[in-house]
Amino acid sequence: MTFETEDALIEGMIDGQNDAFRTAISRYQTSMKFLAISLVGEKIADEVVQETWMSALNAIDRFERRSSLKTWLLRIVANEGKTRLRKENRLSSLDALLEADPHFTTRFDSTGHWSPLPFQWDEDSPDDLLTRDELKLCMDELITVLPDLQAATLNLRERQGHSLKEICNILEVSESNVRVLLHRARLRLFRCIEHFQQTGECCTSMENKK
Amino acid sequence: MITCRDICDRATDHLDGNASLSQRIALRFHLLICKGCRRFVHQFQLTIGVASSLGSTGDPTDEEIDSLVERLVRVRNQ
Repeated sequence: MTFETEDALIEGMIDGQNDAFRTAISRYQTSMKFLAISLVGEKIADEVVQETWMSALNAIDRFERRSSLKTWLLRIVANEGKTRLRKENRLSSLDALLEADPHFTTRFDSTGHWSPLPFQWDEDSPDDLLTRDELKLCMDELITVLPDLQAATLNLRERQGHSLKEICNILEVSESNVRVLLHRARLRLFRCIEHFQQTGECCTSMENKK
Repeated sequence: MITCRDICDRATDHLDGNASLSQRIALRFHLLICKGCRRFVHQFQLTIGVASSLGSTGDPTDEEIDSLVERLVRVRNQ
């Protein structure tokens, strides 16, 4: 059975139809797991996604459909993930994540100009940069050490293409804070690529994985 | 007068279209006269491109879907 409209799929899930669950899982499991990995790390991502499906199943009758089913499911992933991190005392403080990266405050002189100029990179396109396997591995590694909400914001925006408004809804963070989280994550990646360009080494070797 | 530090702080707002008209004009003007910021903004854009080019997690296998469906149906029928 195909569920051509989202309403039909939701009704099918409310009725407990196997085909509806199968369709929903095929459509959304990949995005849900991808978000869970960025938020809580690879080790417990599967558990968080399974918990999400159970919570979604219990709440689907009450789903008011003010957002898409996908956004609603991703919001439950984020909630389950944050609850889990909070229980394990691993949830980062939002205030700390919004603070300026101390590295960048040292790169300007007293008049606010670059000192020295940013390092000139050798490659001139993302594909050219990623032809170096070491950098690709380093970027994958960096994603695993970025703090929870920063990594989740980066994942939802750059890798899953969600709008800032959708990300606010999913992570329950204000739009201005989402913009800052995204900017901090991008600067962190920038710094890591720059470090790799300068030294040929990855920036994450001293850090702990989620 | 905006500084290189301001450009660095506002690069995301600028590139994602969340800067006001006067901010955009000030930024454009600064980029015209500042080699360091032209380089930074270009390489910051490359960084965003790299972030979106990184791989995704794999799709679930049929077995994974079957076992999850089975669990969900069981819970639903309880």
